[in-house]
Amino acid sequence: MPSQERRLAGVIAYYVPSALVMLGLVLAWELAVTLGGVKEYILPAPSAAFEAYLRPNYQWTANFLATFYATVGAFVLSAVLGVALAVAIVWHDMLMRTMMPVLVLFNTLPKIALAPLFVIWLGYGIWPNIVIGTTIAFFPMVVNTAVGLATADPEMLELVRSLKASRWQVFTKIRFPNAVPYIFTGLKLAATMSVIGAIVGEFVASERGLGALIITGGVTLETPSIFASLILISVLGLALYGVVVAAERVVAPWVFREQAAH
Amino acid sequence: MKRLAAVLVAALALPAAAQDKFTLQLNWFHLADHSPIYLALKKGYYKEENIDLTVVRGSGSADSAKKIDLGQGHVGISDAPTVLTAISKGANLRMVAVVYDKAGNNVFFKKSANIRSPKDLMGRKIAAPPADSHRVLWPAFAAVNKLDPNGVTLVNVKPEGKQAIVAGGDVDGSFDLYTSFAIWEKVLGKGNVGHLLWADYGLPIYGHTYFVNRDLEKKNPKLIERFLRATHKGWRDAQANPREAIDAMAAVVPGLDTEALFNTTPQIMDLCITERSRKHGIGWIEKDLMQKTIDITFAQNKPDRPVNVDEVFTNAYSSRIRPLK
Repeated sequence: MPSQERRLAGVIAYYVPSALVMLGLVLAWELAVTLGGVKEYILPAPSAAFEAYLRPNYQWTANFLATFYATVGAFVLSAVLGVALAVAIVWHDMLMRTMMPVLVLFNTLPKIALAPLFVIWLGYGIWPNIVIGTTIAFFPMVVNTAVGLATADPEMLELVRSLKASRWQVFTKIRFPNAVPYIFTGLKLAATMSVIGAIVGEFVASERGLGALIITGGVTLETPSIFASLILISVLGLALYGVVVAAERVVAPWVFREQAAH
Repeated sequence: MKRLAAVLVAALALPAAAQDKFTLQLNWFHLADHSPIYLALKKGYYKEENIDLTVVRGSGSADSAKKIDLGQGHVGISDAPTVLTAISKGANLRMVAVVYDKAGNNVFFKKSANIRSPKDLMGRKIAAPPADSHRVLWPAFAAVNKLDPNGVTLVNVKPEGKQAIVAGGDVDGSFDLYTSFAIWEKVLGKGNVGHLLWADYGLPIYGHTYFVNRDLEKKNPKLIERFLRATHKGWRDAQANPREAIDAMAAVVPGLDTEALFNTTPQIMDLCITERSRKHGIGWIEKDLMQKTIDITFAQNKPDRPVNVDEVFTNAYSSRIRPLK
């Protein structure tokens, strides 16, 4: 199949340069540290960070899972809450006028400063961390979904109204499909923000988690474990993002076709 | 003739103008144990030693150890175990005096929690702020008391949140320095605060210390001595008049709760002024006690490189200033 081979070659040619740049950066970092004689507790070489994974005292599985659950929990909760709230405020003009200022006001608050309050109110652990993650991640969900629902083609709306479509039909046939790409944009933002939320929560109070490892590593000067945790955190964020992109391809393949056409 | 005299006067005044710039890196934000430094500043003891002192707020012992190692300050204040850990990881540091002769490591709880000895901690949840040495020392403290260190669940908490998390009942107690006693009374209520001072249960170690980058010892050893002399004069005066010391600090540092800080001064003086400091002077370091501090610091986690007691501290710059009787 020559066409498939050509496609594969195209994919390789597309990704190889970025992979090489990444590899080059890691290599330069390794060399700078080893040749420059930088103390490990100030800046560890990448190899030292990877060696930290072999040390059982960091309990990588338990710590990773704690952060993973809090992240996924915050992501799911903010997705559900965000879409539901957006539907409500687009459905009722009154809600839009009353709720939106409250949401905007809430969004201006720095959630990192709120996190200690959540600990006082809710205690600590995975659930409070899910709440902190949700407060950070749900706003882009609401705003994106609301914009998607509100910006349906006016001519299309006129048309279906003249055909006596019910409000429900307008919503399910016109507004919601129009909002799908916006919802996915919101989900992509929420994916990375949920990770931030989980880590912020763990910074404030936690028994385990990658955020807890980073804090402890900072105090005990176990800098390699900090970098090892950071790597896992980016992997977690990237994986969640990847899941959203994959879901988008399945649910809304037309978005990709349009992008490819541009 | 008059002109010559004027020139002479100007020349004599010159050394005062050329003061040595000096940066002190604190371990933490301003607490009562930093007030003697401000009393010394107010009384001009640093000026007498030709030191132009800048005090920099800290964000944890590990951070100040790192800053001094990187040459971003002259003297730092940190927990001895943290300085030792940094040295074991290649930091070029040496301790030159102790702040406290007795470590203030301690656990606070509500009196109603019924904790009377370390073994009552077993099976409980204890908040352990990551920004101090309790976490490092806990396994050693447990071992001294023949307890399983894993018998207590340590909960990571931001230092500012430790009183709230105990008051809220989420945990049974919190590790915190004995010197914060007044702050605990403020949150939990007078007469409701219980505590165990680790030093009373077999943990003889050093707590906060002053330390320098060893490059400074080569370049200007006298400067270290001058700094310690001025600082310890401040401590001696603060012992006589702690209120004046707190006020001197509050006059320079905004936003302090002077009453709460003043109420912690009796505990602070308890830990600083001991038989040892009466005998040798404030800040004197005892080799045996430093060796024990090393043993306990590295009891669980072996050091990355050997740590030799004679290398990690020196009394060469000791102020020899004795506390009041």
